[in-house]
Amino acid sequence: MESRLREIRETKGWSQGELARKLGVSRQTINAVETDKYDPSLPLALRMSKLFGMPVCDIFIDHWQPQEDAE
Amino acid sequence: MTSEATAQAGKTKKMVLQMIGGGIAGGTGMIGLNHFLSLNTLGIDRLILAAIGFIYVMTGLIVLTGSLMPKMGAKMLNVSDEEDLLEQREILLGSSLMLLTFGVAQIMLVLSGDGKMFPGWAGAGAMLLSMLFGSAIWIRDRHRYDEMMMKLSLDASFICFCGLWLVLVPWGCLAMTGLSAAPSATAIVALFSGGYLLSSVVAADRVGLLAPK
Repeated sequence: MESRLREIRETKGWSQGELARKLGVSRQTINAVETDKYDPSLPLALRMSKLFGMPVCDIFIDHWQPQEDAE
Repeated sequence: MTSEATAQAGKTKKMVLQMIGGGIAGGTGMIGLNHFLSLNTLGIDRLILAAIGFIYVMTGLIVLTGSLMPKMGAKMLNVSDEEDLLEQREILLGSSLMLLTFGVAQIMLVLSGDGKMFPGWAGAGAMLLSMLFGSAIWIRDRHRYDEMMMKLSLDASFICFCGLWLVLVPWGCLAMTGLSAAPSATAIVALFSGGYLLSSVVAADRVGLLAPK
């Protein structure tokens, strides 16, 4: 999964520490999400979505596509 | 050189210096420990357990220093700056005390038994007390861990379990069928203790905590 968190956070002018405090997680967690080392839980992704006022799928890009039925 | 390349070179330099510092401190400490406690007379399995205990003690001391003196700690530990340490001070203090007591208990265990520095009950008792102490710290601190740290702990436990399963079950099978000697009690303690240490490093690396900062 590809994260756009860094780009979105920077447009808000927030540091990693500020965002971590707003979300109630550590700065290391924000850094790991931004560097695609850690996929956040659904509750955390939803909190990010609420905080930035955008859908989760705009913050995290999943390149998975459903397979067409073989019929 | 671009500013990004300069920053990266700085991070790498810091990490290399940390590694050299750790190597020198570890090597000196182990030689000192061996000198005062005559560890080389104890046999290879006890020596390995003592070395693992020493790594726990050293890690505990470094983390304790880092959490008590964040400015100095930021230079010694792989963190972005002192704010990282201040933010997690309570967790780090708890972890460092856990590491220290467990490491000291392991060294005591190595030096316990018939004809050794401590009576057998002292080493076994120290280990049991350190495990109870560690459990109490974990129960106290578990709400302070955020989701990634919880996942890291679970990952480390899982990696450790798989590693031990892969080592101990075949070893046990070979011993049962008389194809090898059975693992000694010391080897079992060393495998669990060293295995968890190694697994924690692997789990931390997987979420980028070991990347140069």
